[in-house]
Amino acid sequence: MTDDRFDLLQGTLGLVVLKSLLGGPLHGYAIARWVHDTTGDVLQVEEGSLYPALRRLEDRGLITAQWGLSENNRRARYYELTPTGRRHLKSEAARWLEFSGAVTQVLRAAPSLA
Amino acid sequence: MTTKRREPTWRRYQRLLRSDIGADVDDELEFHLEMSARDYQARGLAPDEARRAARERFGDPTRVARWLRRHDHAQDRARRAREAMSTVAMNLRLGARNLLRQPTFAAAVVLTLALGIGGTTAMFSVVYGVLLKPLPFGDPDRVVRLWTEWKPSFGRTAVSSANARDWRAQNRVFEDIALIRNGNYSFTGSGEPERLQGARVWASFFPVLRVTPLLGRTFTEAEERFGHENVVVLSHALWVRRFNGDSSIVGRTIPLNGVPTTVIGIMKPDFHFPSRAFDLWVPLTIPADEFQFRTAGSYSAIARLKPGVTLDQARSDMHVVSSNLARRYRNNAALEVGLAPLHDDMVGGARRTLLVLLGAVGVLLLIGCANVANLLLARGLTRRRELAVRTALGASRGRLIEQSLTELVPLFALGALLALLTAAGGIRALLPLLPADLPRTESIGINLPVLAFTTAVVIVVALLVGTWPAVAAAKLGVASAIAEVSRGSTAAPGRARARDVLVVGQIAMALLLLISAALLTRSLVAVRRVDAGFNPDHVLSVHLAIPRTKYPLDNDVASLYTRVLDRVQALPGVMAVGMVNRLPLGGGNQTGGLQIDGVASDNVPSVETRTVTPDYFRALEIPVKEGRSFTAADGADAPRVAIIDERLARAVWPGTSPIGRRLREEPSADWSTIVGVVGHIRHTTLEEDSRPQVYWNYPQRGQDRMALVVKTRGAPEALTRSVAAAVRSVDPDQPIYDARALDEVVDRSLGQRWLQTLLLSIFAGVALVLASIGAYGVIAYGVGQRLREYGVRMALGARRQDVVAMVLRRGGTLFVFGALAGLALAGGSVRVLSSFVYGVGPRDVPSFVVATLALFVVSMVACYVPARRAARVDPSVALRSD
Repeated sequence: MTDDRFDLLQGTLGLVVLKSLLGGPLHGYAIARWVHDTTGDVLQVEEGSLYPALRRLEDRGLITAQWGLSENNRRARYYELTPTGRRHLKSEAARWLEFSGAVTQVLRAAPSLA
Repeated sequence: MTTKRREPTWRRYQRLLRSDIGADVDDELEFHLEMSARDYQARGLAPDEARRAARERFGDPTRVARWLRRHDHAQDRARRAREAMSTVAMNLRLGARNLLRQPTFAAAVVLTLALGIGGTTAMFSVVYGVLLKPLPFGDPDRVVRLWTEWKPSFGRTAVSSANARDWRAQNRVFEDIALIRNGNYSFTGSGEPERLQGARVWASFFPVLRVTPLLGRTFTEAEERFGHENVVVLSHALWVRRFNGDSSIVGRTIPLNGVPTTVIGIMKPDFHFPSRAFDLWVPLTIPADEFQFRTAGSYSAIARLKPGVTLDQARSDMHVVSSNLARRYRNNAALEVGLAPLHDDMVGGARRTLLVLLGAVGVLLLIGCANVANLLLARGLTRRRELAVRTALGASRGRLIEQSLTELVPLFALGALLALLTAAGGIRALLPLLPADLPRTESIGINLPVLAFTTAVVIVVALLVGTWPAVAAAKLGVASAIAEVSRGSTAAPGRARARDVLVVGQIAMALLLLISAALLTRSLVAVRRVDAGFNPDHVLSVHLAIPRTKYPLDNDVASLYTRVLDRVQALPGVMAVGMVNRLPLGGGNQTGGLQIDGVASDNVPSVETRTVTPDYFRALEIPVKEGRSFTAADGADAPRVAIIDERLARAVWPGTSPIGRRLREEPSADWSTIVGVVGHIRHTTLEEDSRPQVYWNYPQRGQDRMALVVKTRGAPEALTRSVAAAVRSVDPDQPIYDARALDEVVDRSLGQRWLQTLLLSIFAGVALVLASIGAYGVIAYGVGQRLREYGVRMALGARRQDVVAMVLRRGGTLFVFGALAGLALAGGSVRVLSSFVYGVGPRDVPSFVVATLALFVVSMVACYVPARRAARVDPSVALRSD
């Protein structure tokens, strides 16, 4: 695992992580589970790469972290969206949808690939 | 999906205690892996398999952990730096706000700092420029001055060319030696003829100093030969002043002493040697017949030590050289070589003067510091409540000290800034006051080392005056702090004592300065009262330097002088006019060998010699005790004559008349017959009784340079123009220079003493003011604290004068302690002071008494102001006040 790979994943992974926190604060493992469950394993994320991504979001002020207790009374670090993070998620999600829609449209246009 | 719960408080403290970033990272990742493994287990995997699966899914935990740790540590450092910065910024803001809220306090502190540190900086810049700054030569530490020392007690004399030539050939310790002789040049460019001070130097002069010209070149040895010597190197200042810095001047010829001379080089702006007065350098040509004179010299010499050679080695080598010369030449028997580092030799006596002044201004700074510390302590007292509340709220002592110190930064920054302005102004005011004989004044200014010094002083002063009050304020325990908040009236006795100690110290130091100033003032008065043996009143002195190129024969020069004397004598208002080759007290002396017919050389004292014209003694009112003065009949071809002073007469011919006896300068010279005895005068300085004196007759012993002394009825300076015109009527190209009333010449000879006395008196005056302000502050504060007590006393029948006496007694007690300490200080400084006093003892009783009385009166006045306030208290009001 190298920093380069984190960077490669960061753009999309960051967006996914932000989205996962929309429902409320989560610890790292819960985020990983959410990504896994929501995408049905399509996005193959090496779970370890999640943590550097979280730190970067934290550095940018999009999320904050705080120690708390997990459901089984273990000490865990919880991540929470900041108002900035919320705004960022909204605009980035819109851009992503627009972009992927455009790409989809291009790929579907005739002459077809088949 | 999990819901977040708050971590219990104790856990947070555990983290605070631990605050271990690495452990936190491990905890977080470990938690992840455990949860993951647990999910696998729930799906039926065995524990160890579940663990392996979780790890596989995660990637490499150690790598992730390493990345996270590095990241978190970096973030933590950045955060802590930000926090520290914001604390500093906050305290600075707090300080600035306090400064604005207490403008009187701030102004008092800032002004005291500006004066104290500014004065110290100004004085240091002089010390640095004159004493410490390296000479602007290459490897200046390796340059030494050489001179001839006459044994056993004859002293230091100029070097002869014959000896210098032999030193140069026989020594093994110098890279080279250079001879220097001062010369006078009249530059007749456009406009009035100007007299320029020049130096005739060996070609080795520039290499010895390791200086190179800005433009052109310096001399070659070939140019020391007659017929090749008409080249000149100009100073940067002269080049700019007379030639507008035109570089095409190099290679052109200019008229010097009426001779076309080729400019071959321009020196750099910082080159001033032998002194700033020198404007040009020409090659030194020595006529071959001069080398037969071994003792009579008129040169100064410098040399550069070979690498690795120490001063002691050079001294012992030169001792060997002079011993060899003494064996070989009879006239060298009594000659030894003197040697000193050039810088030490140039600075000479100024070192002591300047260091004492720096010390005095340092004492002044300490007095100022005591005032500032006092103000801060007083403010600390008024801020008790604030500090008490902070202490009660858990602020640590370190934090309070840190805060107090940071709060001072704006005060000190402002003070330092003003101090630099003060120093710049002080230097500008000081420069014209500096005595003419103070060397190296051109290198005085505010430069990097001076700024570094000021910065260091500011920091030391800030720590000195800032820390103590801060510590004192912070030392207040919580309990006493709370108690003070509730009671709020009694002063903390410890700090009141601290302020008393400061005032006592101030009084002691102020007394030291006052006593020093009194001693110096009385010394100056004593020196001024010294009878110099001549009367400088109503005498104008003007210098003439005759170019030998124009007047090659001694007879030509003498007849020029005679004609000038006649013309000046004819001017209205002139009572008598004479000439002397070197003015008494004009700086420098002229000594030489002397032989007396029929007297063994061991019994001949060292003498001062002068060449004079017949009316010289009349113009200066030097009495002719016996015989006669020179007359017009004593011409160049008449029998050689001489005049001696009464001291030489008494020393060599006690009880008998010296008239008719014979003496001469050198064995090779003709005998001169003594025709008169005149009064002894002070030649070198007023303070030092100079050697016995011998006067030669001007047509018989020629001098290129003469000073006219003109006794007038009116103001001497008013005559300058007509004297200049009289000289020009004899020779239109002949400049005059250094026209001054002889009174002024005498005063200038006291330059360093004047400066020292003036500055020390100013310092003492400021110290007096500062110390009385300090005393006033402490007494006034004490009175403010005890108003209620005075009210009670007056309600119980005390009279107003009783209250005044009470307050004054307290001030008096402080004064007595301070004065005792100050007298002890002054008594202990006797060793330093004794080298500066003249005509009074270093324990001169009147000085001590007057200084103590002055300080007593002023500090009692300072105490009387608050005492009156105490006495005016209305008992009923005072009792009601909180």
